[in-house]
Amino acid sequence: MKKAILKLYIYFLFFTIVLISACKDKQLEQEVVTTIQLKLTDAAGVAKTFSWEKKDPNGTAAPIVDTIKMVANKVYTGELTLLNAAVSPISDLTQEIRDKKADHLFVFKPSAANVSIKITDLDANLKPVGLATTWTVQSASNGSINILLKHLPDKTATNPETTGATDIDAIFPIKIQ
Amino acid sequence: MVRNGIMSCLLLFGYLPVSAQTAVAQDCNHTLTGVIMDNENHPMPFANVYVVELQRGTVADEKGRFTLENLCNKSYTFTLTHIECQHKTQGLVIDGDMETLFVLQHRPQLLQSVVVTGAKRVLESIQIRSELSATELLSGGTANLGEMLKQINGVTALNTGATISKPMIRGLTGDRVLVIQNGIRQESQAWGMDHAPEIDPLSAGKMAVVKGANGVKYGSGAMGGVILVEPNPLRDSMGMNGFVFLSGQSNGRGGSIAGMLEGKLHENWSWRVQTSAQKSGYLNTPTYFLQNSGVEGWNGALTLRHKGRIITSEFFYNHFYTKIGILKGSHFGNIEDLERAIAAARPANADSTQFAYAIQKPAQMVSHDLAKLNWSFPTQNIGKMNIALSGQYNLRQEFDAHRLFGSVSKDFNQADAGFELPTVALKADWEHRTIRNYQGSMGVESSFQRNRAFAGNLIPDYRSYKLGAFWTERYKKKPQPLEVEAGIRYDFQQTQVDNTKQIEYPTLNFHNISTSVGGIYHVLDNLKVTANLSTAWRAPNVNELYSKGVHHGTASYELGNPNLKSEKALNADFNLEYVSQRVQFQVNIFRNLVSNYIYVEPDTHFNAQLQRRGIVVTIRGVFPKFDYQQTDATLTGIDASLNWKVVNHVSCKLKYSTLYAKNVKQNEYLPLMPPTKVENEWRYEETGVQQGKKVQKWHSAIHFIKVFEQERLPLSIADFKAAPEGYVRIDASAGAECRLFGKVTEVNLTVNNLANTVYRDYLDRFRYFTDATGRNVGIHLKTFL
Repeated sequence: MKKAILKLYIYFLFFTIVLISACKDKQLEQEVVTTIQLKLTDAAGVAKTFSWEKKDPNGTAAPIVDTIKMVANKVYTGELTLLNAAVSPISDLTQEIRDKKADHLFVFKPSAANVSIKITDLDANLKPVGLATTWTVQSASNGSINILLKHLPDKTATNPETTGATDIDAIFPIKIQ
Repeated sequence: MVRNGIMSCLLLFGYLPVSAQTAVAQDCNHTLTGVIMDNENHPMPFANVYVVELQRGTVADEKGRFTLENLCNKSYTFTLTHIECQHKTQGLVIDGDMETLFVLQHRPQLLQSVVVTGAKRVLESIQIRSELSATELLSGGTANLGEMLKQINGVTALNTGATISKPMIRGLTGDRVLVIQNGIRQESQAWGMDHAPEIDPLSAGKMAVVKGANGVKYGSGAMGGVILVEPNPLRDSMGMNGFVFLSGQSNGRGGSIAGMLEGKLHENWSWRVQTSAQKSGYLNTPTYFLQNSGVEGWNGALTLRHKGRIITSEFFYNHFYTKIGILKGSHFGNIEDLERAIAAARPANADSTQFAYAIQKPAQMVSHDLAKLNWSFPTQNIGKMNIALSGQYNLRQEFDAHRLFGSVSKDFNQADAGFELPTVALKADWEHRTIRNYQGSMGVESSFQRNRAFAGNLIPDYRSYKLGAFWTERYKKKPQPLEVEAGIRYDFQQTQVDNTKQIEYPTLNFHNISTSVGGIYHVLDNLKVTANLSTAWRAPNVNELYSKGVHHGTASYELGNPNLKSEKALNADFNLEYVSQRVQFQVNIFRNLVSNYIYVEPDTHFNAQLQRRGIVVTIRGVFPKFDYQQTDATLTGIDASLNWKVVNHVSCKLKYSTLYAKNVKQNEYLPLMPPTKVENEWRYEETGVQQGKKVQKWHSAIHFIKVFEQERLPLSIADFKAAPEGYVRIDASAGAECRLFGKVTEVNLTVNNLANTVYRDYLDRFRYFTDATGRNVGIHLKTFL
């Protein structure tokens, strides 16, 4: 009987080893965007960078968001940068969009702020992308801007914003003086 | 060489040198009950059973059932005769009260053999138990487990489209329902809303559902009920038999093929191999195709059994694989995307979708392997010991159609979410034969598992250890009409979550004692009343404790609660059953009180920093936040059924089930609970066709299913879309049994949703986006070899 129990135990060990060793390798994790940086440069070449950042992308804490400050009746060139600041060193994800411009579209939706935004960069099909922009500021006002990044949108649609999946949906406050 | 092979197999299957005496006890008050069937699982009515040694016998009833009383614990010779067959003789050793199945082979060259199987002590169930026969299983064609089990009253399913179906017993599903395959607990990622059990119904001999909490017998998780997937008993007589099954269906233009071959090789060796495969393309609703709704899969099983002088050893291996396409446009970047999809009357690409077979992303790829070694042997002359060692490996990979920035690769090499769960378990139970009217069993069970997410971050990795011990006894004194049963079980579970760089998790220990008490009272010969009170429990799952992040299927942010306690169910059941020649009636009233019921609740806390209530801001926008909470829940309901033989050949079936599921703390209904359902079936059946005719028997049936609108809804949780209206669905079927090329062949034609009704079902999570599937015509052929 003792021998039988020992045998049983050996089977058990054998099973455990077979099962545990059948494990899959850890695969690559998906990239996450933690930070959006908007660099605004005026005609004189003075640049200011505003950021929207949430370092723990799955956490419940609120993001840290800069207020975009602009001067009335001026024109700025805008440049967007996307970062993953949750890893060290910080990785720049903007290149991923530059590599697949046709698959991406930034949508800029100002609210209450007297500013209009025009996309200046184009993809291979001559459709807008949105990494490069021109911001035309009118009279002084306070409001906000909603920046969306659409993945695989239908850029020919009347309202491309309603097509594709939303990868970024962030709001910056705006102060125009 | 062969002999050597057999010897090493013997060693492998654990031919343990345990010695036991087979002394014969001289009490002669045992009862043998049984069923006589042919090899196609049809009962053989009015067959004669004769015990040679006792020179007495009995006649089976119209369902092939018989009872022989006052048998001693010894070997008897049984002679079986049936009007359609020559008489057959078979020996059987009586070992206490037993239930047996005598199978008469149909094939001419096998006419001499009788298979005696399942010589197992089976007591009348005190729990509410319903079964699906092999015929019902096979007529389902390519239907998955959840769809198949919907045939049982009180069983529904939580669906994610038509292809992912989680069985729900009286409103409880997932981790609150156990699946037992061939005696082993299926260990998988049951917590996910779209994680269906990894069981191929085509591989099962029969399936049964035990309703209500049953923690004593089955351990943690058996809160709503237990699904038993059981193989047919192996062959006990020399020879070989099998079947081939072919099935095709119009919706999805799919088909399945299955085959089984079994036999007895040698004096002591029995074997069975079984395989099935299926493939189906895009399904269609009455008006459009569902993009990427294809399914494919296969299942293979092998059983080997060695019957030694004392020890019976059995080896079982089952491999399950499935790949399921998920409707395009059902995963969402953010809440606005979700709201847009819900607001649309049909999926965005419905009109342009053409039929296709190829499965693209999003998709799931799941496999499950189960190996089991089982030894059973008599212990002196007072009982029987059963030891089972099992190993399982569950592998779940989920693929998104969407990857941040990069385009999605077409291949399925790298999952976006992947989990693996190996489990090893050892259990031993001992049944003792009737001692002074007491009959019972006791046992211990232990298991170890390691859950690892090798892709994605949905849940942390963990290890879990379980240990349990139980004891049940049944008191039955003939001819008293009352039988009583009571049982107790202790469970211990330890969960160790792997620490990460940011978080150090505590080791969690859970203890629980489950009990049950119940009885059967035979009021009359054909009227019995069953009542029971039983408990069950489960420890909170890791996703409920620690999940943190956005669920892209529901576009909601879910936050786990590390302080959750174990859920405990206290279930009361009352069942009345009347069976006569013409009428079968059953009514079952139940109330399941689940304390510490875990559910997600919208967050109502005011976030001062965000100046908003119940939301989380992420870079993908604002998501509603849900927290895991506990409440007490009551699930109260009635399942009733009537089977009435109206006239010869014509029968009428009526089923009714209703459920009130309440959240006691909030004093409102619980969401996602099955609405009231009424079913009615009319069936014409011809069995007495003259011998020699090509068609032996045939039937046709029409089945109406009325599902009411779910009006028992929570008020505090706003649903994305109002509960759909009630609907009536009509199904029809016709079948015949005939001889083709000298083989017995069953042909079945089934039509689901005959009227091509457009409807949406409350328990289908895809009701937000699409209609349910349209008419489906299936043809199923089964030929016995």
